[in-house]
Amino acid sequence: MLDALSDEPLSGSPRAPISDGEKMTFRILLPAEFQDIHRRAALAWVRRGHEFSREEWQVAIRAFDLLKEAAVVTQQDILPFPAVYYRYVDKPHADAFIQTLLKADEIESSGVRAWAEVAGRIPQQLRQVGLAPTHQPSTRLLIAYCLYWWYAFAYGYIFEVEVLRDLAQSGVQFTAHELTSRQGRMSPWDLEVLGFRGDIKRSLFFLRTLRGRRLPYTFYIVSLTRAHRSRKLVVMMRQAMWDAIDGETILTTLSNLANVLPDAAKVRVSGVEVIVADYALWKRLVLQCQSDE
Amino acid sequence: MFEETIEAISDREWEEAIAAHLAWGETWRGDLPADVFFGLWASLAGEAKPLIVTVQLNAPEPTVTVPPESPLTVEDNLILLEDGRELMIQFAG
Repeated sequence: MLDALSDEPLSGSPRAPISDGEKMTFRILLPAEFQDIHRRAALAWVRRGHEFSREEWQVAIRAFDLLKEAAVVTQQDILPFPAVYYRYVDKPHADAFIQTLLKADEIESSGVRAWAEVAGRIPQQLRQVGLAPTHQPSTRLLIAYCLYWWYAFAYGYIFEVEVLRDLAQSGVQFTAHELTSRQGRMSPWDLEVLGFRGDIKRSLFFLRTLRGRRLPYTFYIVSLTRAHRSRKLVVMMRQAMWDAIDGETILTTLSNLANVLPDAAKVRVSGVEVIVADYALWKRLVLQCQSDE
Repeated sequence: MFEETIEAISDREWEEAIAAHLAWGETWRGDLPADVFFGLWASLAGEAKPLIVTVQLNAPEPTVTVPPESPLTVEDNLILLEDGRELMIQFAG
């Protein structure tokens, strides 16, 4: 589901921890494009990512994308940030986290507790294995990177499991990818409905998928907030799916879209028409279509 | 827009920053306000550019090139994609 998790695990045998007392000499290798503003964005996200403005998000998303190309360079090793994340965060915690969600009656509260438990241990864990010694403040970028991707993973899957459970309880027929194994989670799309491939994304992480001009899948179930921070689920889809479920839209622009919801709207993004519809409306139309079949 | 760089603060301030993250992370779910989301989408869509591959045909051997900053890599008539897949171009006729 999340691109960051597709990074290849490190090959070779596990690395022996380095004690903090050894005062290992580290170098953090950063891509040339990673500038001062990205260093500032990383710290600001740790402190107050929840209240970022649009402009701040634009820089922060770029900063954490660039950090995927960063590495810790020691005298023995070059450890790319994604490999460190995989070894010390994803591998030991991801499967158990998913199991917690799948077994939970209250997905969100159980998920938040499980997120916090791991997030709170990340800085200490990286210090223990010698990858974030306090005498090398530049390694804070590695901690920020791991916190960012763990947050993305945890909240992404809390939302995905909630949506999949809701679709099943609503009677929508769908097939979903396997969540309990890493390999299953790495499948390119999350679910199929009416033969169309789709993804389930928090709004923040949907934006990370926009690396090209076109959306790779036919539909995206996305969560947003509206006034008073109330959550709003929308489905963004290509015309083909909207035609299949026989919906009607009004034409608008991306910048005006927030004002049009909950009416279904059609926008043109980079030359491609995208329909944005309320999740409940989409679900009702899908159910109608499936019952007609 | 932002404050200090991440390396510039003291250890105590860094510990406080992590504590702040753990606190806001319990209440904020990664759902952006609709206006911020659609605004960001519009900005990112505007920034997205197609990847340019140039095929030089007016030479004894056709050549394939990509701009230096491109994420694509060319080896002869093989284009290596970011995800490891290979795209082979066959010149016919």
